[in-house]
Amino acid sequence: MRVIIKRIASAIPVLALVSIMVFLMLQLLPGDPATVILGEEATPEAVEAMREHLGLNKPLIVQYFDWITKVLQGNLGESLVDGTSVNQLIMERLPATIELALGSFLVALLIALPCGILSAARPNTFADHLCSFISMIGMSIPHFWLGMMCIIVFAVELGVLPASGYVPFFDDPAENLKSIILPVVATGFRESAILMRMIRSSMLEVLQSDYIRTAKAKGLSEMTVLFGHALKNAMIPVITTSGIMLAGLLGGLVITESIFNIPGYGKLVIDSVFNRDFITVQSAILVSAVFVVFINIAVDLLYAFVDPRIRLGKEGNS
Amino acid sequence: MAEAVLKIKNLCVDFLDDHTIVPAVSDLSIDIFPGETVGLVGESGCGKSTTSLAIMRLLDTNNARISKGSIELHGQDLTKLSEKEMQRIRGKEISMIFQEPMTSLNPVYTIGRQLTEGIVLHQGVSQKEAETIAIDMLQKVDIPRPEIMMKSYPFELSGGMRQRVMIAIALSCNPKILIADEPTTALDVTVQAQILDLMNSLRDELQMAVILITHDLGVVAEICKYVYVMYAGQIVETAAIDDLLNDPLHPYTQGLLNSMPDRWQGGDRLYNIPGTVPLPGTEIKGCKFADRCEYCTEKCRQAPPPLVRLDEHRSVRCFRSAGTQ
Repeated sequence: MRVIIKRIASAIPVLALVSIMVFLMLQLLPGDPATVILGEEATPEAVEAMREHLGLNKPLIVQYFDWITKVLQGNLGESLVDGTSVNQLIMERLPATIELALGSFLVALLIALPCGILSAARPNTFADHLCSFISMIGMSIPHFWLGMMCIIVFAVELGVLPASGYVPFFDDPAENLKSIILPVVATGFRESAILMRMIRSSMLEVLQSDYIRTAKAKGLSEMTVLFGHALKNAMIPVITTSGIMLAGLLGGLVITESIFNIPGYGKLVIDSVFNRDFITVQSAILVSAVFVVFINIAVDLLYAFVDPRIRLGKEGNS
Repeated sequence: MAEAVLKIKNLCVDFLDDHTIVPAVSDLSIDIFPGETVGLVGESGCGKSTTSLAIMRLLDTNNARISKGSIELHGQDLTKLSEKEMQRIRGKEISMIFQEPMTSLNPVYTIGRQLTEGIVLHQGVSQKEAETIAIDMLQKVDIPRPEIMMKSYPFELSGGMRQRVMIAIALSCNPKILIADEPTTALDVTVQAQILDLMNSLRDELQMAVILITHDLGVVAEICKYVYVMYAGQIVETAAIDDLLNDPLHPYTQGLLNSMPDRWQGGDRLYNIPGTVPLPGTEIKGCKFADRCEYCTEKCRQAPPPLVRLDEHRSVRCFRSAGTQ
């Protein structure tokens, strides 16, 4: 419990720093939001009035505190483009991205775990080489290309899955699953490649250790040694990679979302950047940062769960 | 005399290094009787640990294999058993403790779990019964407050305590044979003595045979009845411990004994055997110790000396000492 509180407390300065950086970075972008709203032909007076209205003439520090105070109250502001609430925009876009991210992550795990463990248990065999080959393909194929190939094969040629679009889960669960299969597989396959290498090397290292020899000397079967003794130890570094991966997926699905035309979070941010919709961009990035921070906290807690040396607050010397 | 529990006959182990075969142990024969401790002594790299892993059939199959010979446990040749059959032998008939107590226990599981899993597996008892047996076992190895210890993790224990736990794990299923691979090397001298005493008394209590692998002749003198001295994958001398200490025959054994600071009487500088163990795979026509031997003659370089049996418990692999020169 103390660990959780400590971790959350240490996240606060991180988020404060992120908010300041996001805010300042967007100030550096060329283009004036007032012009964006009013159009290129607006009179200087109208632009000036709009700037006044948006609070853009106030000192930066005042603008920052205006924004962050509202954010802390749960109000992420209004879009500069059409005045819709950013909260609402994010809530509309977030479910699709979360579903995609978790789905891709799940696919990655489903491919990487068995393949990684198998290659480590049978190094330098046909199975190992096959898994390495799959992982090489996953790493070297650009996933937008894989996405397009999936569309061509499964949507255009076979016609079994929709080529693009997204149906919210609560509207129609079956259609929802159909609509996310291709993007999730295309992204998950790529992510699995890195994870598979990671699991393989981590497992290989653990399998060389003395306590695995002890476990074998007890007469335990290979399965018990692999899954009972090796896996839990091998997972410790893999959890880190998985956490970074999941965080990356939540913020970095722009390409997948574009190819499959899914109205997700990444598309929201990109569209807002092109529209000079500063408020939406900075609030959306801040929300992503919150996600990343919380995933990191979850990773730390998972560590403690897996490794008693961390849980009991001592560093092992072995 | 009782029948030997373990008979190793002409055991040869090869390492496979990039398709070249490197002999690691050659023509090793040892008989071990119940309730007896034999020592396997030699420098690092002489094949002691390889021998012990070969007995357990725990050699890494990717780069090592038993190429010749037999290892008979009660007449059953272990080299012919399948991996599944071997799993029923390991931990139940033959147990092993290792050199590194600090890393030989799984860091993420409690002592209790690591102790009970072998008991449940080999004795077919419930987890609850296994816990009772485990606590009993921890008491036997003199671990204070065994109930609390069951819930502890390895990192919470000192090296000596961990080695006691390792011994408890190894002995939990009353094995016929215990292989102790440098069990005290990583421990403080005071703890060393305690662990050796413990092994001695448990050996008598459980009537098991112990194979003690070590480079420390002091440890051997403490608990072994017979000693096998190994050099470069071969046995060079076997003897009852007293004979070996009083009258070492092989020049290598003499060198080892002289290397013990307590025994060395040659002056202020400590003795050491000149040179190093030949690398595995080095082609040697004659005696493998020839390069480091002060008595080496032309004959020693021409042909390998055979292991000559002098009496029931004594053999030596040396032309000079065996009197065949």
